[in-house]
Amino acid sequence: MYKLIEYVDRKINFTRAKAHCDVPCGIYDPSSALIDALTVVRMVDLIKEHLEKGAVQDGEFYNRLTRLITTKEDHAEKVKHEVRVIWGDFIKQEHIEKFPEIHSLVHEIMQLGSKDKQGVDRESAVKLVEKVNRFAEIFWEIKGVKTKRVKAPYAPNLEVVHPDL
Amino acid sequence: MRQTLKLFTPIFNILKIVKVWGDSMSPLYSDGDYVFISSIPLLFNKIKENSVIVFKSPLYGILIKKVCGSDADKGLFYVKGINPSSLSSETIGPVKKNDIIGTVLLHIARK
Repeated sequence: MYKLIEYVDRKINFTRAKAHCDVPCGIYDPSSALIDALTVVRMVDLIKEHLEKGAVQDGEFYNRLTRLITTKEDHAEKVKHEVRVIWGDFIKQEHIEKFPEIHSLVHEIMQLGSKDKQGVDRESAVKLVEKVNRFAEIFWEIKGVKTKRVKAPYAPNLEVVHPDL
Repeated sequence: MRQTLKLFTPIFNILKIVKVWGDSMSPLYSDGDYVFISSIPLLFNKIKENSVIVFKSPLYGILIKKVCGSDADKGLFYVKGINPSSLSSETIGPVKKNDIIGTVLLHIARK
């Protein structure tokens, strides 16, 4: 039965449903890094909103502020981790030759990730999203998959690159 | 062959064959397995907890995951993989009913 379906699949290409995981199964996807980068921007926005509210600076105030900052830091670090793994494990010499910008792009992402951990500069956080978008475009081009830019359906509603399946 | 198969398009709209790509549903479904999915249970609101669904994710593309909860009022479903290494339910986010392509009816394992 399997061989029959596989034969038909080769002729008409059935839909692929991804069963994502983080174990070394050869599945790489920059989507996680993009979500993390969007989270950094969102946290910057929420931190600024929180400070501008002028709320009483009591325990609740500092608790929420600390949580927002911690989440921003965690996700900026996750961006760096996800991009490093794809760059280190998936990208091969022939990809570097085809996309010579890849090393400097990854280095910029590392630097921006650190900068966004240290501060609350929205422009820098948005730049991080844009650099990860470019990284995603390169990744999917290597995979031979077309991409499209869509606006994330949640705040901060920035454009993200994802595969046009 | 391709022309002949096109004749079966109406059938494919309610019964589709999908190839599993990845191991987050392992050991139930493994990379390379095929599943038959149908949209009929969706029409009769038969998607329950532990149903395995194939759906469109705005950020991840087409995914296969197990339903682990739902919000009937908002028509949202919460999903997760079976393998502990799967993306978490929070990372995937709630799945809208309209984004569900079908539920798994039959499994054809690779081995």
